[in-house]
Amino acid sequence: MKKIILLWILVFIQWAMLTLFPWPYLFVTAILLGVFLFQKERLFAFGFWVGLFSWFFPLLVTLSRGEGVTSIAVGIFEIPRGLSWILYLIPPLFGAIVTGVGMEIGKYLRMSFSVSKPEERSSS
Amino acid sequence: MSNRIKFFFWLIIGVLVFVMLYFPLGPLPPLGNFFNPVSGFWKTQRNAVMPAKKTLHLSGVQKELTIRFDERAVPHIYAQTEQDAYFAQGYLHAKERLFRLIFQDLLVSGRLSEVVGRQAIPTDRFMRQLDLKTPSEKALALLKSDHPKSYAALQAYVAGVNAYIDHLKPADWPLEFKLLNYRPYRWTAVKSLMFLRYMGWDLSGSDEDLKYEELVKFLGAKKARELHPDRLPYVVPIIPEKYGMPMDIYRKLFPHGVKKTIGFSPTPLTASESFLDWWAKSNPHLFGTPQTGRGSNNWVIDGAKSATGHPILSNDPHLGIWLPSVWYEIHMVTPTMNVYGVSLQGVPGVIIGFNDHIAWGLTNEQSDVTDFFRLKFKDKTHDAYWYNGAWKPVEKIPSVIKVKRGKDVPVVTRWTVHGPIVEKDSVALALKWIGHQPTLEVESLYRLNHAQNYQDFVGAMNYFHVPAQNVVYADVDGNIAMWCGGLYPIRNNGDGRVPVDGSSDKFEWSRTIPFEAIPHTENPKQHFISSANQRPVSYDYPYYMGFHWDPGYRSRRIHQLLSTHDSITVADMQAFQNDVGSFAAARFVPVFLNVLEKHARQDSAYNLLAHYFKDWDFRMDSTKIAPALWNFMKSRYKDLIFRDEFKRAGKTNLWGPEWEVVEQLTLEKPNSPWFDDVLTAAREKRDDIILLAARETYRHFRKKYGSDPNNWVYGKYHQFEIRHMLRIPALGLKPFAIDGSGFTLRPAGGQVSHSGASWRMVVDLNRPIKAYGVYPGGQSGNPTSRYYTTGVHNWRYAAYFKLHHEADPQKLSAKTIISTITFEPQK
Repeated sequence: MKKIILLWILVFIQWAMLTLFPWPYLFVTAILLGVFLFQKERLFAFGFWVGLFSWFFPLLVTLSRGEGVTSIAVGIFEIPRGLSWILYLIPPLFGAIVTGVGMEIGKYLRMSFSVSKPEERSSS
Repeated sequence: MSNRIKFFFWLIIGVLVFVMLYFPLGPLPPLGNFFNPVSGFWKTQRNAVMPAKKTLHLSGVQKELTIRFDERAVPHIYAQTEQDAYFAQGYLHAKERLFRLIFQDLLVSGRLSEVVGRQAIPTDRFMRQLDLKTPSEKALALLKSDHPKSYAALQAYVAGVNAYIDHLKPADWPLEFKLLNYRPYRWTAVKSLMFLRYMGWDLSGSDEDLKYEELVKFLGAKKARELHPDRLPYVVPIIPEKYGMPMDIYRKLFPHGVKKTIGFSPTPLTASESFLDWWAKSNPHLFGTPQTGRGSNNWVIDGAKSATGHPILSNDPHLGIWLPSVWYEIHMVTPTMNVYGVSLQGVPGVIIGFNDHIAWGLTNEQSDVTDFFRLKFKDKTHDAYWYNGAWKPVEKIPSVIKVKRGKDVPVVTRWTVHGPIVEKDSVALALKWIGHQPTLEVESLYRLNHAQNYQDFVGAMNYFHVPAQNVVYADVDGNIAMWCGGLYPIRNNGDGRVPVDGSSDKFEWSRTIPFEAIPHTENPKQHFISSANQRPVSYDYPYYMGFHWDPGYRSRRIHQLLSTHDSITVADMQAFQNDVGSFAAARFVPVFLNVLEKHARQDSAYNLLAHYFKDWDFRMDSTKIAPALWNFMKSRYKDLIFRDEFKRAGKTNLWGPEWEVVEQLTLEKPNSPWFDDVLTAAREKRDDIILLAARETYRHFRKKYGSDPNNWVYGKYHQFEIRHMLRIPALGLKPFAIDGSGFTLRPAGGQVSHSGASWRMVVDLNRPIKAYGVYPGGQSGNPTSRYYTTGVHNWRYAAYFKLHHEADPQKLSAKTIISTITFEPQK
């Protein structure tokens, strides 16, 4: 339960970051989150979901104004008919990868340069 | 694996992901920016939504002003000061057409390679050589010193454009710039003047002197002159009377008459074939296209001809049709002006339109305002040339073409006393074009927008220089007029029809045709005036104006319609604008039919073509078969007459003859030697060529569209396509069948036409003025907007929109208003 609450908190943090700043700042944020959420388990998967949702919801908000632009993008990138849904997958996927990788980097950054070992930290 | 190794592993992955998303991959924009759900391309759609009400506080606004957008998103600007009205226009041009505005400037200033890469280097090099900046800077200085009102209008306009650009976030960039990953830049007054000058170049600059010289070289002067004679047959000039003024005034203005064309011996040929090819490929066309030339129609009838008892004016300029549209419709109201019409992004004011007192429209005046001078250079550096007995240094302006994903290309613009040097490989010529003078069209437009009577209009014409235009006029007092406004050079010697010796001032332009002597007419006895790019005056006009004009089929057709109709209504005028009766077909097809019927038994092809031609009314109707057959056959016929001579001379793609020449040969000289195929032993005549063209036409259609003639309808063979300026199919419209041809009043030249009536306008000068218009595009430049292609359907089917031009904003029907924006001064 705690993890789910944490996930949603991070989703909204990342969403706010994405709204206020250019997307590369998300990388920095994700690395920082990785550093501070430093723990033994794999952060990539966790970050993946955070990123996925934090890019998916603003996309929904934007698309709520209509879908005309999607058909144009399908035409520009010459995506075959019936596969336009791929376009909706791309942004969340980008967000997921950026956040997941960033958090994983943060984790190992902390693990590599931290004085204490993760086992010690978690046992304490 | 140690944590440190894992860290570096993930770091490398992270760097790779970052690079992939942050930097452009080949032609693709940076994907992270592009697919960003908040500011990426999806945001384009949100930007297309027009708010019902909005207030903006902007520095540069003097007093509160209101802009109301009607049901087609046409803005109605109600401003308390002139400056504010132009400021608002600039703001709107930037807001709705930013991509086109900047893209045009990139093209005009030779910077396209910055955006599209290496493929644009030839065009950029050409535009740098042409150098529209230098004369524009001089013109701006003149405007500033001598014409404070139009200068202030221009500055306010520029401030408006920049007010929008300065607040532009990447999320709000036009879709095209997101795709190109290119940041729009600030606007300047010089850019406005350069753009207007480029339009002038596109509509009046020409390489015909080079092509004519080549023709002379290959065919000889006599034959070349036969194909492009000094005097074309069947011309119905624009000015119906004697140039619009008595001859004695002409003699006083120019007592020594006109010097005759000098002899010509083009050895060696000035421009090589590769130079001509380079010119054709590098010279960019946004407005005039090779497909339909630089045509347009305008005409006016006075109260004696109209059903209302008042003048009715119509105009449809024919330009390259692109998306976003060339025109932006606008209505501007200030305490001193209530003007409505179409504007060009980049230029303040209305270009074609009407106000409370007058209406005006433009067609291109195709006079000869370009010459080429051969130069003798001191050495291979081309840094000095021989002029009037001494070596004269060229004036050099170095610059750099920045290339997307490529190395910078240094270029040097070189100026001589004649004009800038255009050069490719070993060929270097000085180009003299009238638009290299610091002309003041912005002043002319300002005056036109404010004109209240004929005198004001004539005052505006005094500044209408480049491109020369046939400006049709009507006012609410019942007057009609036409001025062939422009600067027309008078050469010291010769007519500049071929490149001339540039080592002295012998062939220089000493002055221009005096303003009073420019062809014009006011309230002619025939009660109408029309122009369709034909020669403006009869051939006894004492000044040389040019030798190449539009084939006179549109001009003869409108002359025919207007002279044979009375009590003409607005609906009639609209029908005339969309008339698809081919005057050319009416001249040629009866001859073709006669020959085909005579030989109908010899070949089934003759019989079939005769069958379709027999009852044809010469209308270029997309659902009929005869127009398709005629359209193809006429081209084959012309080709068959001349290609053998060209081939024997050694070059098949020489500059072909004027259509009037072909017409005269067909109607009056059926035994002309031109009809003989010089590559065969037999002696062919006109009828032989007609039959051969008929056979080839029949074979072509059978091969391409099958044996069933029902599949040969014109609409399958002849279509119209509206492309996006970047030629991305998804941003343009698919081709559709369309009536008309390159010879009809409703223009649609070529097999797939890309140019045509860019704005159709009909104005009834009966108080209160009623006006109607349509253009093949929409007010928004945003491809996701519902106003991107608003007018295309009506345009295609010859329907018009009523133009709301109420001076009082309260009189604009609330039903028609979809959005209101208020500008207030920044606190």
